[in-house]
Amino acid sequence: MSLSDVSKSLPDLSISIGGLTLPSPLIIASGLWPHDASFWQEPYSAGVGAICSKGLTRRPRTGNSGIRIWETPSGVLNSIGLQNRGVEVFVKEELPHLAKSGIPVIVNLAVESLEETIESLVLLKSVVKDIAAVELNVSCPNVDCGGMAWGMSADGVSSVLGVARKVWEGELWVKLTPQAFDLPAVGRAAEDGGADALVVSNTWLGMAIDVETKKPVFDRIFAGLSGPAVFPLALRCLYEVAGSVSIPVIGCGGVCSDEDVLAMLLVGAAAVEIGSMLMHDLKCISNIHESLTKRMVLWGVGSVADIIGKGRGDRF
Amino acid sequence: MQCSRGLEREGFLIDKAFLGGGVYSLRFETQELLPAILPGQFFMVGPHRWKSDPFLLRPFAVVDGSENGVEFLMKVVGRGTKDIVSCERGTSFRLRGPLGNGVFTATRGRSLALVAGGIGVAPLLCAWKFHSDVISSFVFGVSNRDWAGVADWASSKVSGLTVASDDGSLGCKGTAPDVLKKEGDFIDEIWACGPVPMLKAVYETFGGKSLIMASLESRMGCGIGGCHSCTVKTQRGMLKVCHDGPVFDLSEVFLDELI
Repeated sequence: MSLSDVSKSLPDLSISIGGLTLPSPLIIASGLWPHDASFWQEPYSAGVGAICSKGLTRRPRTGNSGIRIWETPSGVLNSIGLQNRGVEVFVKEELPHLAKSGIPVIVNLAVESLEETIESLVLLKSVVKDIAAVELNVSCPNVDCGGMAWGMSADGVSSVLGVARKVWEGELWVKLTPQAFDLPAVGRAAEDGGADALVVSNTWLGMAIDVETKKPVFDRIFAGLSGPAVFPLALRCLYEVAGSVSIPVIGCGGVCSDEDVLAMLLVGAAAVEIGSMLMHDLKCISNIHESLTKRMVLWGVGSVADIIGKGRGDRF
Repeated sequence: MQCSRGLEREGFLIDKAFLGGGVYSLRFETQELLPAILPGQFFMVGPHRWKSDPFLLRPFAVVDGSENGVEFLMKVVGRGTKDIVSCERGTSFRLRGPLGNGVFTATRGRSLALVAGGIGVAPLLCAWKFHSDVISSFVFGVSNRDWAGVADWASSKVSGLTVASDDGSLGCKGTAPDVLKKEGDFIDEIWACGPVPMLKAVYETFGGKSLIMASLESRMGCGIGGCHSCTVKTQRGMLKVCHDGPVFDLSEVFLDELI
């Protein structure tokens, strides 16, 4: 069946996340997409609901030394180290061009220290009209408290929200880390702290050994695992968190197909972020959008909202 | 980098030749017209049968391109390249490209020599096609006779190609930079591509006297400057091989930090 056959009754793929409405539930995850406006347009923009910026820090970061990417079975390990030009340059030189694309911009902000987070959010406030939401990345080491990632515990996330919510009045998402000891508890802490939505989740810490050199592949030993290999893990995390909070939850982790998107929607995702698959196929989102639309037509479902949370099993 | 029509293309393997030493020449035909390909540009390549494993496309420099075809040189180094060269003629491939903004650009009136090591001959063959009228020497260094088939193949494309081997079993004895030094007097500019030790040797021999532009290799994720997986440390900071390169002024690159 082609789309033209069903164009008379195309389903509504727009979704709402807190106070934000997006034209599609398919969001480009942080870390993959260039801050180059020529890639924020057709043909790459087809089906894209929003784009998350690369992880930004208050000051420029050069990123990690050594090998940064390593393919694994059905996945990829990365150790980029948040290479970016800093929030100030992003606000002045990059965001204006990206915002002109008309695609909602989600600013991914890496939480290093609380002080730097406040400074970054103050800078972002000056361009709030160009920002659909801020997505706080709490997977970075907490330099204020012994190096453990902020997102590892409910207390850590509460501390971050305690300062961030006071400064940033716009939509505020928190991207959780699957390394957290108790992910639902961390999610509830973010909700209590005033987050508008949660993103579940980020990469899984893994590692690789180069057996020829008999050394770890990465200079920092551990690296983040993503790609199709992590999808079942991400789906489980999403299921747990979505069942524990009342704010919208956005699924993220290993999504490669319309079936993966539907699975995440069915267990409660309000939207889905797609990352690593873009390395495999730059236009995967438009393909997924098309097949998702066809599937919804076949199911006789008029709106994405009618699917969300309908596949949670006995609990619903 | 042109992306108005998109960089994701479909191509079919139309010719595959084993050249010895684990090296293959592969030619692809594309269904749509390709934009002009500049010397040094590359494609991310993988058969459509790769759904999730292998997951990443592999980067290969263009040897030769036309409006509906492109040729690469591939050396089997891992499971990805092993699978690619095992594909039969007619196999459908993803061809993302042409990629790269830093390319080989000749300046009128300057003497120019090319020096390649091993599989690094690929982008320099493309450069030769564009600029043979201003190139005075082209030295292709290999380790030993195992590369005879590749050397013959390259010689069929380049008139006057000088082949050198480390052990003297093929062509002149010596490394490519040593042979180039014997061949030439002062050279304004050298274009290089090859293993890191060769690039270091080229820089030690000619650095400070000649401008050395080198096409660098790196592990890549996206190929479009998005993921920052392929960076190299330079005087201008961490630059992306895929987007800022792959061709760099070697005097800007911290050679000891190349992987």
